[in-house]
Amino acid sequence: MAQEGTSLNPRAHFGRLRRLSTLLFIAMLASAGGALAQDPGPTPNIRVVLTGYGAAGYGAHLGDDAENNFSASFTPVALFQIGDEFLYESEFELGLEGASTFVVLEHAQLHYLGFERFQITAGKFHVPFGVWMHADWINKMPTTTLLYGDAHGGVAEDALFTILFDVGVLGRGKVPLGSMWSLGMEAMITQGPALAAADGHDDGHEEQEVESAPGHADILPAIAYGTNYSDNNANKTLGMRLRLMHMSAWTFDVAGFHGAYDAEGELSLSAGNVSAKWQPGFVDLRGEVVLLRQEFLHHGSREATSYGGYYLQASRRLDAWEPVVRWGHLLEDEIGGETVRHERRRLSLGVNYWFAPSIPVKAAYLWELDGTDGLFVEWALGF
Amino acid sequence: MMMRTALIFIVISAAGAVHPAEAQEQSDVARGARIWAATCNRCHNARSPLERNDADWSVIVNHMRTMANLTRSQAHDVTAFLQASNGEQNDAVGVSPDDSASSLRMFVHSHAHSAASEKLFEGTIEELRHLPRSEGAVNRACALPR
Repeated sequence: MAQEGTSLNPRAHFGRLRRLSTLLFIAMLASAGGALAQDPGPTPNIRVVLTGYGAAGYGAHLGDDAENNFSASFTPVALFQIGDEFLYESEFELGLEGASTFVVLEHAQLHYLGFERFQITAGKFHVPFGVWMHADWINKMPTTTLLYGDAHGGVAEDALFTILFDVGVLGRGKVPLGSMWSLGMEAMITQGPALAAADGHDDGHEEQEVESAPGHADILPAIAYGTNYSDNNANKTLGMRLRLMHMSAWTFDVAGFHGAYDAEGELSLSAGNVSAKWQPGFVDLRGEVVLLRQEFLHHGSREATSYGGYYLQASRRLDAWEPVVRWGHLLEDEIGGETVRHERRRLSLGVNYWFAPSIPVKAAYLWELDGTDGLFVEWALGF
Repeated sequence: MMMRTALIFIVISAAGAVHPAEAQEQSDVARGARIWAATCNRCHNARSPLERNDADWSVIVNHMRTMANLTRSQAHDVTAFLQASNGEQNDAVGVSPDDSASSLRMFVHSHAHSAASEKLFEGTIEELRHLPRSEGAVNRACALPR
């Protein structure tokens, strides 16, 4: 007869088995309870889409100092959707300049989209100011307007200022006004503009040799936009835009921003924008007016000057063809009787051929009434 | 007699009835078509629904929601329209691929608030019709005669 506790004793085996099973059961309960307490919820669905645009172009400045160049650029946009409420997007621009390739992080922004009529955006984003025509397949001309120019040091040589991107937080909201009208509202707080240093390394200190604004005499310091990554002062720029839209063809914008651009945070820059678009059927009419007020130090005292400009553009689709005309005007600015910004007037006549909604070939001739004419061709592709 | 009449009535009603979920989806698609026609060519040419699959459109429309400041409902409706028009899945709408375009056109015009807005949709659709490469796609989406 087998004794208890020996391998041959069934009662002992059953007892050990029961104790082992009990321990296992308790362990399972404990782990399950722990898992429930730490349950992170359903795994969010993550969807990734790569989009963006690219372009190749040719530009020729005519006249005595004629120069002409081919160009190429690639601007990928990566979209990351996490669940239904979170979106992250990032856009790079890669292009050719001089003897090198430049890379710009145009925007890198997070969105919360969980509200019905309100959105929150944080990161680097396009400032709500002016008509969006930045993408090559969206701009109906191969060149930018005189208001916004391309620049990769924050200062636009051939325009009022650069395409405006900045780092901060933005809130958007929209309310319907009846069945056909809506009012959109956007408000932002961002790093803001800064002094543009002559050597390209801008740390915002006024004592540093600063670059004079394009077109200005050595009186008015140049402002760099969208490159103030390590904020040069304790001041932040506030901005907002109101957009009134009719479902048919009208869009009206009023926008503005205000901030200090010097290291001490004492010299302010204010900008205002009014724009309108009318797009009935095949026709596209748009215009924009920008006015800036910039404070500066002149012989130790604070002064201010205002400058600005506008453009008007008209285009019409004729099947796949689209003639475009654009008139741009930067106003003259004087300080103490001295011209610090010369008048610039440009008439652009162009024609586009649309292979598809996002694939145009664009050609335009620019009459610079105060400078050198130019001929530009661009093939753009949005994907 | 009354029982037979009631039975006939019930059968006829059931034959023409649309499942509530399908009716809601068709309504979303119609609203989305209207928003797409009126909004998605403000900044750029409206892109053809056939360019992307359902999953991509759900992401891209949210990107466009931030650019165009659409409400959440508007983004949902535009997504429904694009997903219904891209040929990937028409079963949810309850119509065949060939019928979806006709349905969309009918819904767009039935939801136009005025003769002016109806003309707007005609103008927009007519403009889109002239896009050469995507003509087929746009026609399919907007039920235009070839």
